[in-house]
Amino acid sequence: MARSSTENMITLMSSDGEEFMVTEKVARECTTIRNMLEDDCVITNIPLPNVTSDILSMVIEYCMEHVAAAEKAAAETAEKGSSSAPAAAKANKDLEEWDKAFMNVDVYTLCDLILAANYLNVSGLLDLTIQTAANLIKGKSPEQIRKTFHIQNDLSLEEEEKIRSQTPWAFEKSE
Amino acid sequence: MDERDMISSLPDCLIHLIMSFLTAQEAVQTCVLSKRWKNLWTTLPFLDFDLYKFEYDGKSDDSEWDDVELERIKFEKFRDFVNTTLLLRDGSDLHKLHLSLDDLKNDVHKYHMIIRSWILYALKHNIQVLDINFESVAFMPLGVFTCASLVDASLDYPNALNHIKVINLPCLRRLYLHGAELNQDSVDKLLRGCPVLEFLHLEHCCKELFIINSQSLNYLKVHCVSGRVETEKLMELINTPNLLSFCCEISPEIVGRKMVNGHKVLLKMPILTTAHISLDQPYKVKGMLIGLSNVQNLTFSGLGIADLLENDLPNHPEFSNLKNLNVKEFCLCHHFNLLASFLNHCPNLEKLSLEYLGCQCRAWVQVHGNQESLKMAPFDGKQLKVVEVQFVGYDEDFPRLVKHLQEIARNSSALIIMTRISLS
Repeated sequence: MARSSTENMITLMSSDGEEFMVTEKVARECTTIRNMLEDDCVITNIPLPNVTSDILSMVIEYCMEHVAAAEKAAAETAEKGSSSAPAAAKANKDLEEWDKAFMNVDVYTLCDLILAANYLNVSGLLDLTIQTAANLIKGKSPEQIRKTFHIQNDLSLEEEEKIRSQTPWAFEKSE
Repeated sequence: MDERDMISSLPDCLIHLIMSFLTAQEAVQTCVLSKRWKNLWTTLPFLDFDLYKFEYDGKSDDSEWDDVELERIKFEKFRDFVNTTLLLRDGSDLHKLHLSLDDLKNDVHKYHMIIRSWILYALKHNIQVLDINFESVAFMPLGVFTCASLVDASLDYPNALNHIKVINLPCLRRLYLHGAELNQDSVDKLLRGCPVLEFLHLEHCCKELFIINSQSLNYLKVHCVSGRVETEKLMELINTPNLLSFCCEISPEIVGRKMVNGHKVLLKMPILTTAHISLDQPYKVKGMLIGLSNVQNLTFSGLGIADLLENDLPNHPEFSNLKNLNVKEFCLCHHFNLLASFLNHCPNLEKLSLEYLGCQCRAWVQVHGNQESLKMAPFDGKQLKVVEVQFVGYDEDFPRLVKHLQEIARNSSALIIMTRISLS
């Protein structure tokens, strides 16, 4: 890893024209951007037509937090020979708490973040958002799931009954 | 108020990714949400069938049936669910199958055929990740061991391994085997048949081993706990030139039973960086330390470590790369001198982590005599930066440990951190 590259600044431009200056290290958390930088190392301005400024600022916030956590752990290792097990466990727990708080968003933002994480290829953020969405589905009845995600039920009563009668094997548990 | 339905507008692949965190039952049940969701599950490439989590309507008079009958009823409902789900899939590739039948306790042989057929389905649909938990033998189809698409497999009791003629898993990178009664021949065949295998974890698999030869492995974990071992020698030779991490856990029932004293172990792992050796009981091996001498991180755990250190005592190799040493479940009061002798061969050690659970070895001391009388050169840890000690409480032997730590403090500038922990 080239150390000097950490100081390079990259400008990311959202779909609505807002510009975000980030360090190259933060930008590289997005595999999509990393690949662009590797293809063309002089690039400093990257338009991201699929991501709005609200969402892009959140993705950057996530990347900065995770880069900072990784740097802190690395610094501790360098200083003490290794990070102590309890301290590392605490740092992990803190980051998990941070992730959890970060996921305290409405379902629209959550879905936008899923799309952005997928497009920018930020694997940690994609796992986090996908897992959060799955947790919103787990243990809920179809009606509760529709309500959570504002899913319009465009099936008529008859159609829904028909689907249920064709898939009784999936609905073993009476609701 | 915004009432857009965002989740339904996500592309199929992302909805499938969300479904991959659900059980197959939860995933299939999304079919009634709306037209968009009606057929989404039929192309889902990840299926998680878990008997334990399977929900069925057992409402009626449960009291009439005994546990065996209830289990049969639950399994039959589950079987119908799995069969129908596989039948009504659209036939696209199945990327990952997780099948968990741990719950099944009675008459398991009756279900072998059907369970085999599910695995065969996966094999015919380019399965990449196969994760099977089922505490029973003799159900694994042989095709699993010649599956060209398989990348990652976790298998319980694949005892067919000992009978199979050909193993050919060209893409397999990660393998976890549990309860496979491997003999040397099948281990050889397995390693030859998996040319890109990087991660191998064998749990309760050793019957008469062990020579392990692999160019590709970089992570190896061997865990022997059962009394099934019918050998006098365990791990004679491990030749893994690309291994980075080695974890070996050997527990009571095996060790000390038939082991030959002073049996020699040859470990060829030149680029190993991390090792974890856990020996619960005295295990008379020679040469293990030499094989590990390049590591940077080393964990010793268990009473048997005292023997390991003692056996190679006069000629401990130099652990010149070792930076972190972690010592657990080891009697720090009576065996500290053995440890100190070892530490003198670790010139670059930066961090020493100790766990003190009180004296572990009164019985051992009775047999072997008190090692405290051994005269050791005091540990001269110039590079040592931190000594971390976790202890559960103060007992009569605690002052001995403190005395040893004071000696370390005198000879080095290490920071000594003591933390009291509770055993959960």
